[in-house]
Amino acid sequence: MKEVALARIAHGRSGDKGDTVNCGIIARKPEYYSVIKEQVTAARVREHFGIFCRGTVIRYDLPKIHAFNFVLTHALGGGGTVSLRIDTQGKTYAAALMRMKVLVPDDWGV
Amino acid sequence: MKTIRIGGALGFWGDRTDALMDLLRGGPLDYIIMDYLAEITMSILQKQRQKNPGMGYAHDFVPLVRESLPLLRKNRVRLIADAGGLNPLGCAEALVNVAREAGCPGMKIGVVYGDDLMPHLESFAGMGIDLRHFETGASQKEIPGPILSANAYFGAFPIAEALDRGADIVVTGRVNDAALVLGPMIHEFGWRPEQYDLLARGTMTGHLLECGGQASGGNFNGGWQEVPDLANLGFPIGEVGEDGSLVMTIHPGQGGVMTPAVLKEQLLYEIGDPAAYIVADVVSDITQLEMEDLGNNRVRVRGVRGHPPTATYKVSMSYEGGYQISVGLVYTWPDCVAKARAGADLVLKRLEKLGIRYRDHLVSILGYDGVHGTMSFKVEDPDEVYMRIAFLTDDSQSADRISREIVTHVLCGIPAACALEAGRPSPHKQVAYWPSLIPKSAVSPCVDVKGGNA
Repeated sequence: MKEVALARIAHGRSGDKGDTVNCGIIARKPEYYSVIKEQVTAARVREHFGIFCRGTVIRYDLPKIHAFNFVLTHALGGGGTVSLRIDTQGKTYAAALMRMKVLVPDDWGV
Repeated sequence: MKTIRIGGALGFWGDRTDALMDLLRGGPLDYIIMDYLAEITMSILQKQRQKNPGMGYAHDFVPLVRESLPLLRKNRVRLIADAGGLNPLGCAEALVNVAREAGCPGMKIGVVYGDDLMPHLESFAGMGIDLRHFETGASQKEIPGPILSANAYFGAFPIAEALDRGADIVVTGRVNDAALVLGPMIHEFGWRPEQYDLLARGTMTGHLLECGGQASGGNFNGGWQEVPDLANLGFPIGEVGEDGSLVMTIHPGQGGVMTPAVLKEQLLYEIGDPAAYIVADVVSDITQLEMEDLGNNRVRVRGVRGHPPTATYKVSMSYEGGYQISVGLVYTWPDCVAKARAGADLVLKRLEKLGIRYRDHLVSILGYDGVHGTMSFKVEDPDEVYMRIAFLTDDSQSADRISREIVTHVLCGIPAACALEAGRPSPHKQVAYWPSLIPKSAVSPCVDVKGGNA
């Protein structure tokens, strides 16, 4: 097994609703889906975001399109119009999640 | 089977305005929708309405209609937009005048309104309706500032009614974004309120079209390098059938791309539980949704299911927050991160000495860890960084004094610093949000059709 950034096997997009952020994460190939399902758990995502998410993380699975939706609450410093952060609308959160390390088989060309 | 083609020409107020003409010129369409409203947009409109009660709608929609009117009529395309914002009747009035000036007095302008809850807040209190915070459950009484606006998110049936009554253009106040697309489908196909699967398919079509170019190659994290010609991005088109079937595509000869990967990013954008995507008309379940690449920039979407709607409308209230000001300086090598940190400390010390008060602040060092903080892969000794401090203050004077202080640091502060922009940064007043729910029985959408009586 080798360690790679999640970005090698997935892509995604994030957005906001009030102080909640969601990250839609999509496997780049169907065979990557189970690796993400096993390793990119809600608990691990919660830990990854650290102080950026002061609430909870829920993961929803969409196996037919090989995708996941992570919903992070209390994640924008109060919400889009009042946050003092630079990314007030969570537009870059999916990119931030792409830094997470995952273990994949050595023979995957990623 | 009857099918219609609907294009999504705008994803937010401020999005590309040339996309409307590109959609009209690029090939046949039956409807174009334009989604102007986001939480942030409502706060901008609120500020504009405070200054001038005649405003409060997306005023630049009006000249856009003027420009596109000849082609809209020639191609027989009907336009639906939530450009009415906080003043849909004012927007409709302006459009009636535009049609008259353009020599098209027969044009009918539909308007959906009644979503403005401000006139009813007192009577709601009398009825025992508490607009509790949707997430925290806190009582409306705990809203920490004066309420500026309160709007219910209506569904698609009022839009369909305006179209049934012959409207060529429909403007609305606050409706859920997807309703702009579901409305014409209800009108064309005669769908009824209890046909949940159909309403859900129309709603998800709307969700795929409501953000414009983000569904056809814009902001595509999955392979932006391979998206052709973003400068001429073709905005997304839904080919929808009366059974709710959907093929997403773009006009030939325009930029952008339509693939399952691009469409999946938009499908998951700003959603919560995929088994329960809630809008006024229906609760949609996309957990069994499938996509099929038909090639040639065509993707079939199927498998959306619907369930009965909830008994409430979503409500968005806004209230006055404090003042925000962001100040900063660029620092360069060597030791620019240390310089930036020392610069931020110095700003804070100076504010203390000058007795300038603020409620909250946040220091970010861009180029190092400014956006993603603890998650960043930090570069040991970067060449340059931008030190930014955002402040929240109670009043504009404090924010203004902070803005004056920062420029002094070029001569009196940490070395090798320069300003990023000419001039002084200016503060802005925050508008904060209070999302809630209201029983559908407490509020009714209104539909009117204006003009057309030449």
